[in-house]
Amino acid sequence: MGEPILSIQDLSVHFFKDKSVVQAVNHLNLQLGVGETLGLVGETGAGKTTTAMSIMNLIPNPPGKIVGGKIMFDGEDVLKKSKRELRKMRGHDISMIFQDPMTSLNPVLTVGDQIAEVIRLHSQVSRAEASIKAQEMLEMVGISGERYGDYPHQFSGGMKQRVVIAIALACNPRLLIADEPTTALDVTIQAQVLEMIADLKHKLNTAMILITHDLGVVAQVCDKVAIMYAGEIVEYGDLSDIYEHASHPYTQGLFGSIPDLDKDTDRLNPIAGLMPDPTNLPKGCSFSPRCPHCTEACKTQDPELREISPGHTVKCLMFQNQEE
Amino acid sequence: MGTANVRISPSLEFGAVKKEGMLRQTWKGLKKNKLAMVGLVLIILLIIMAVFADVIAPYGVDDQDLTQKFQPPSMEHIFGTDDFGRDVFSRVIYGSRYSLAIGACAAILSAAVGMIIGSVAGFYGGKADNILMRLIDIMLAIPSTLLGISIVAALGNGIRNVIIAVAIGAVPAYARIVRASILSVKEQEYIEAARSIGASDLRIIMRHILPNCLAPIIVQITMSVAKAILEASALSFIGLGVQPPSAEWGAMLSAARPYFRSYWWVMTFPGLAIMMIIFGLNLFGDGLRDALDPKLKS
Repeated sequence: MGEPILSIQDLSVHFFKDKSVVQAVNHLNLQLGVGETLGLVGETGAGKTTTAMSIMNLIPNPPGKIVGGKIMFDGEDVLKKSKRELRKMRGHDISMIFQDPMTSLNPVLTVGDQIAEVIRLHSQVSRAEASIKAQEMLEMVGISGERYGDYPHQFSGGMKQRVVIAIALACNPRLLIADEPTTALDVTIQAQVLEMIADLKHKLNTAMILITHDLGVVAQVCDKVAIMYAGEIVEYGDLSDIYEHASHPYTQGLFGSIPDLDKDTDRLNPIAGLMPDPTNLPKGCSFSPRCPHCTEACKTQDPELREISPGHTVKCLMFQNQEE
Repeated sequence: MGTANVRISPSLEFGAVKKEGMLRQTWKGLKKNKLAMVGLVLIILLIIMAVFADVIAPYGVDDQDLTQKFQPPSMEHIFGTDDFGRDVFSRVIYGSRYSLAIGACAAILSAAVGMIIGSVAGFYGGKADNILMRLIDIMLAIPSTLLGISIVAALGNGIRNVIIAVAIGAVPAYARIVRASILSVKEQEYIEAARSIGASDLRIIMRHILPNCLAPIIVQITMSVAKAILEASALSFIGLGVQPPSAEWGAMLSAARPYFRSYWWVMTFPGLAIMMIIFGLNLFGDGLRDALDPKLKS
């Protein structure tokens, strides 16, 4: 990995609700190199989307607040940028694909106008030039340019997601954040869309953060994987580290809960228990209440991220104690 | 749908974009709606009446002929004549000019002010919302006719002041409608998406949020033209708006009131004119709402 394009240091995001504080992201560290793809995996509510929104500095405030940390993108702290600089960055340097294509397109604007808008916002081109570029983008994602003047409701879900991808890639961003881009699509379309994202990303040499809870998707597309739990990264490594040497009990649990095609099992093996209440995280390791290897120490001592092999870090006391 | 990497028409020539305009689509939807077309015809009639009043009216607006006073409707004076022998039909025709001017100006003025207030309150929320909406609540607490009366009383008679008075009374309705629509639209994911491509607040409001709130605003505009015409007539009727020698419909009603029991036509026709135009505007407003709804487009 060369110079990192994105480096998140000690990021904490909290949401303040009436009297309680939701600790959505806690002391998160993350690095991403130019052109790399990182899979951010975790359960619903693990803080994946919050992390993504923080990178764009789009956490709704109130109630959300980034309470600590730095997000360095291309050598500059995103959190210290002015509104104008942020607007320049969004859509141009970093862009985002949203989860649900049904709702992430504006129903009263034609798809072409929506693609042209991002082009016109970030480059000095005439309306006509922007519309030509927008048609090229449509062609690039496999939709006929003639459909420029159609409204979103005239497209199917998969095609809408392609339009969203066209918008996201229209300005050749250096970082693409895809927030569960295939969750709302059916499986056959998922494969097409993923293939297309991977293909275009490769062509444009864009770094990407792929947020998902589907480990299969990650294996197909990503170089690096970060497993998130309760606002923290519990395990980080490249594909083989995670898929072949899963070390954190939570990661092992995730893989354990995927049914094996070769074995005939009647029941799935879920991870026992539920995510901890983010307003009241357990003391010590946040996974300890559900961990099959939990010890007394786990309940009081919060483990640190330890590198167990080059580039493979785990946040678990089991590995911390081994070294000592 | 083609597969991801197949270009569907690689030889397609890029050029000027053919796009069916919003107006044309709305018109298509509107044409199917019979009631809306009735409303539109009534509105167009009003506009024609106002523009070509000189040509249409058989008599001058102030032509008095005391020998012909209180003539019942006949071939000569189809709406009859009033207490000065003026032709009621001609006066109703000329009166459309006042109604059109007052209705359109008041609606545009109140829509502009109300939309600004509503947008700011709805979009930014918090303190701005609280301050602006409490002011609107205060205005709502005063009956709009009373508010109109007070404003005209303070500013003086005359068509411009009537427009201002009527417009101010209509602002709260706009502000509330726009605020409510903005609140429902601004949480949509596409607004977040618009932010994520780097659009400014103003752009998000003007280009992404307001067009999505257009349907209720358009309906409100047509309805408020109707309301403005009615209210201006009411002000004129009680002697505060346009003054009696002028052929304003409300002023005509007011002037004819003493003779109503003996000479019904003097008062009936201006009243019918007011009713028809308000009826037309309301029908058209409803039809327009249906035609503008993007969910009903096919």
